Amino acid sequence: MENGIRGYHPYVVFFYYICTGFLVMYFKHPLFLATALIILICVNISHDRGKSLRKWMIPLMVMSLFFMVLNPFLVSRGTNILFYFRGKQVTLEATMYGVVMAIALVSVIVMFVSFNILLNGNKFLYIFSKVLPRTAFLLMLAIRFVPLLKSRFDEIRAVQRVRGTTMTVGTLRQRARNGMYMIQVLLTWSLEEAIQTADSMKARGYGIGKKTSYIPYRMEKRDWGWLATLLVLFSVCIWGGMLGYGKIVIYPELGTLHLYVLDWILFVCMTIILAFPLIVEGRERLRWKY
Amino acid sequence: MVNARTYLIVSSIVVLVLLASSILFFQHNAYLLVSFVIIACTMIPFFARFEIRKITGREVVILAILAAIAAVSRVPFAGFPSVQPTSFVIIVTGLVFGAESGFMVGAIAAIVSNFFLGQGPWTPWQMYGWGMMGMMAGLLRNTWWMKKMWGKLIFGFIWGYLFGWFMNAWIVVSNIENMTWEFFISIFVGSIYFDLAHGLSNVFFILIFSTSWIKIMNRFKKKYGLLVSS
Amino acid sequence: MEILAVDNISFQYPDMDEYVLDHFSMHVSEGDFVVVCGPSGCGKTTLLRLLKHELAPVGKQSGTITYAGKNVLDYDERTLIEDIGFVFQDPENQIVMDEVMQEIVFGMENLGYSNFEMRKRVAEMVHFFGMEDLLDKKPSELSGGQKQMLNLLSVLLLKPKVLLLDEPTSQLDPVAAKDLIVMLERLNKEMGMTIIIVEHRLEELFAIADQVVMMEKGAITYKGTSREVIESVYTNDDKQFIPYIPSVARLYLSEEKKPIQTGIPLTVKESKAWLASLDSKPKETHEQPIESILEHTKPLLSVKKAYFQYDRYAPLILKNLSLDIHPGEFFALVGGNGSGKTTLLKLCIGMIKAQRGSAKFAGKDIHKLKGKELYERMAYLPQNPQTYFVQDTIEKEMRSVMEQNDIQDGEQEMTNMLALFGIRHLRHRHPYDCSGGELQRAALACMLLAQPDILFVDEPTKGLDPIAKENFANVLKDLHEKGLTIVMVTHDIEFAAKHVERCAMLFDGEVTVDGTPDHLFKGNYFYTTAINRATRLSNRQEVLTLEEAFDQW
Repeated sequence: MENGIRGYHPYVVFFYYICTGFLVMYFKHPLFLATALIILICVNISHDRGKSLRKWMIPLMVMSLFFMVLNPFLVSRGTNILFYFRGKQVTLEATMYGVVMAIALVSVIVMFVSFNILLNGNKFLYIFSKVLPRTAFLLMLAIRFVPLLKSRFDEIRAVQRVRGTTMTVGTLRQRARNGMYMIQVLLTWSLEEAIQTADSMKARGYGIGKKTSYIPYRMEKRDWGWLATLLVLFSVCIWGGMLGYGKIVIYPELGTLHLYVLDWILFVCMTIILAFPLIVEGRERLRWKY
Repeated sequence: MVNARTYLIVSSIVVLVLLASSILFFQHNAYLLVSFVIIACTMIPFFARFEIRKITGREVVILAILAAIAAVSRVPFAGFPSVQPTSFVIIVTGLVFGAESGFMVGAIAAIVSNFFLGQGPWTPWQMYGWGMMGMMAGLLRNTWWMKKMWGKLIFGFIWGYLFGWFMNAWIVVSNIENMTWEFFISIFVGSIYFDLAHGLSNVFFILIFSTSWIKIMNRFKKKYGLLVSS
Repeated sequence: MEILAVDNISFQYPDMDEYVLDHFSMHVSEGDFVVVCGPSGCGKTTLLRLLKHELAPVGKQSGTITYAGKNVLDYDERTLIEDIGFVFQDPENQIVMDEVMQEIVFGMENLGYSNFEMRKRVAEMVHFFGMEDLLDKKPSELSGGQKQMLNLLSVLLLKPKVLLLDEPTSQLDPVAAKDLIVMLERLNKEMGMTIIIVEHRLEELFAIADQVVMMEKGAITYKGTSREVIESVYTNDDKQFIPYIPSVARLYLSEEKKPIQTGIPLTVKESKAWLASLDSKPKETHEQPIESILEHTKPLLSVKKAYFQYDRYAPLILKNLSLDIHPGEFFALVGGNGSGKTTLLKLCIGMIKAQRGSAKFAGKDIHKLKGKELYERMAYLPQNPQTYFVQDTIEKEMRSVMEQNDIQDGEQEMTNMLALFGIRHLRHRHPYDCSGGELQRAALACMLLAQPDILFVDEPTKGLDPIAKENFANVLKDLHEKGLTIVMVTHDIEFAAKHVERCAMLFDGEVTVDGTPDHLFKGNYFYTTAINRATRLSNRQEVLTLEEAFDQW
């Protein structure tokens, strides 16, 4: 059994991501989004000290800069004009929209990075195997083949290098052609080998009847507890959002950023939902210390 | 065959109508979310059909290996951002194994490659884009012009653009409140180079490799009597 | 009690004229350990597949197969899947799932076992196999031997009564192969499981087998207990099957003055006992000096103080490794799994670059070589020769090589090459329709058109039957005599000991010893040939190969 958030049932974790993804795209208030982003980054750091997130740093920076800088210059909607640039108006609204959009997008991607860590291959499939068993199985097989194909490709590359077929010298055309030649070898070879995989499946009874599942996960009391908590908080957020809280009006004129009481309530609910992995990990750490 | 074609036409129309009408209906509210739901709903019939269709273990394995090859083929080409071998593999699969297999391989290849390159809000769009590419290749494979090399080349070139536009669509959709013509155009202008490269690399691969790939897959199909009906 | 009976089975594949199995009969009692062998294409795999009903090939079939007193056609699918387990040749291809635990339960899930039953069986069998540590791993992280154990375990969880294995050790290194066979012996002895194994590597199996079946062209040539079969093959002097017989047994039959069937030694222990009974002969303790002729020539390939690791935090695979290959040498590199053999080979063909130190071919850095410098001077025969073929017939492949190398009178050259390797009949064949041995020779024929200076060979004996192995050895010897430099990586010690001039043993990323096979292997406990293990410290001169024994005794 794994520790911390990884020890929770995949359904619960999956539901956490649904809520998170939904809320991040749902609320538009800068405070909400900025908080969400900070929490999600912390969540990532709690998984692996931010190792996987670091690889995304540069694309994320570029993407957010793209929205923040480009949006005001490209879009001239809005009422409050900040200044003119080459005869076009740069508005407060467009700037604000750029910021909101950038944070929302970055948050979603940061969430997916964490998703990739927590719900890796098998857990992901476990979730879907109930609904789409054969598709899930197909996907799993394909994922299982990837490392195998990569190592086969390395072998092919070595052999073909000695034959003078490489992707490192020549014009773009030649290199692309050589690359595809090698993939062609990979195709011919792998198709042939795949028959054995199919035979081995058949030999162990694939497709003869109803499958059961060796369930490595069990919904325990704490799983149900958290599921209920998330569900309640999530409903509150949706309900509040439908009344217009947690959002701001941007176009045609930027509305107020002021937070009302209900906004604060939603804010707390959202924070608790998003911080679910942090709470779990934090509690576990405290238990180890004391 | 008829089934698949109906699916395609219906689902494409449904997507368009729903996407368009939901702009009005939801009044720009959480439009990205809505679009996800719509895309998911359109793909469900294909997956559902795959679930209930009679299919042997061998066929499942072959689809899996093709999807994995489509995804892995990006690895050696990582240094050439403008070359897109995945699309080529998917198109050929559609041509040889038919529309449904083409769709499955395209959609699965998108998920698989994103397992290694990173899942994101774009995954469903990619699944749909590549899935449709494989499916269209399968649907059109028996038309007279698709049997000619030039037909395939045009198909590959056009799909380079269609796929690119479809991927732009998710940016558009996620920015719908903000959308102005300038913004819209700038996105599409910005992607022209990439789409052109995608289209041209499809043309290049189809021109040089489609004959031998189709031969390899057909030989294999015949040798093991696979996926003949679809 | 008889558990499996094959009666008068004939089988023909759809588009072939000949019968793969021709009125074949065989009876197996419960708890038997049956070994089936024969040259490739003799029908042994077809036989095994016919026994596993779900895998039965499509074709024309007559005769009956009876399992536990009832025709297999009368059984329901489920019972047969459970009762008859099948382990395939390639360890990697059989694995379906992405996680070891998922793979283990795959069969049980398919058959719809209850969760309780699954947990019970898993707990018991995983413990029996001692595989607890591997459960959370990905199959791609396991070694070949571990993968094959996983496959065996996964099949055993269905509690089969009969276990069929199709060359299960052919892709494994000797240590892993031995482990697998020991496990099979345990299953047979401790659980009474009936085992039918098709295999080429027989040294250890003869000692375990209750019944040995030797097949040729779809029919049985020899059948009986190990000793009966060995004796009759030997007395008939059957060239087809002599190579299958363990070398100590052959030694016994030729050296013993009055050989009796029950005296044929099957294990090292029995061999030692027999050798002790022989009169002792004076031993010559001639220390051959290491041939120093080669040392004077300039090396063709030279690796100097090379260090290599796959990434900064990974362990060093090659450490301070130096190696010289001289023109005209036949050199073999031996070593266990993970000793760095493959990495060294990659370094030699320039796939990787040493972090420190150098690897030079004819004075140039290998990883910088490209185009002509590579394909005109080097050839590399990989473990899987399929990877070499791009075209769809062997002839087209040869033509593309000729085009690349501007060979003029190509037609003639091509015919010569095909004849030299004895593969004229394969000219228009698709590479994937050839057997392993044929494919190897075809790849060599293509490569040698370019007349390279050096040939790298990686694990050439994997999956070959003894005859194909002999043939391949002869091919290499011919090429060597014609002046080709050959560098071979192998864990087949018998093969290296018999054929090469110079050997080096790699351990932990370093060349630990370097010398003639004699120097390298004689006196080792494990890392040596079976016959050497038997003759060490015996009354006779210690020998490495059977030929040497015939020579010296």
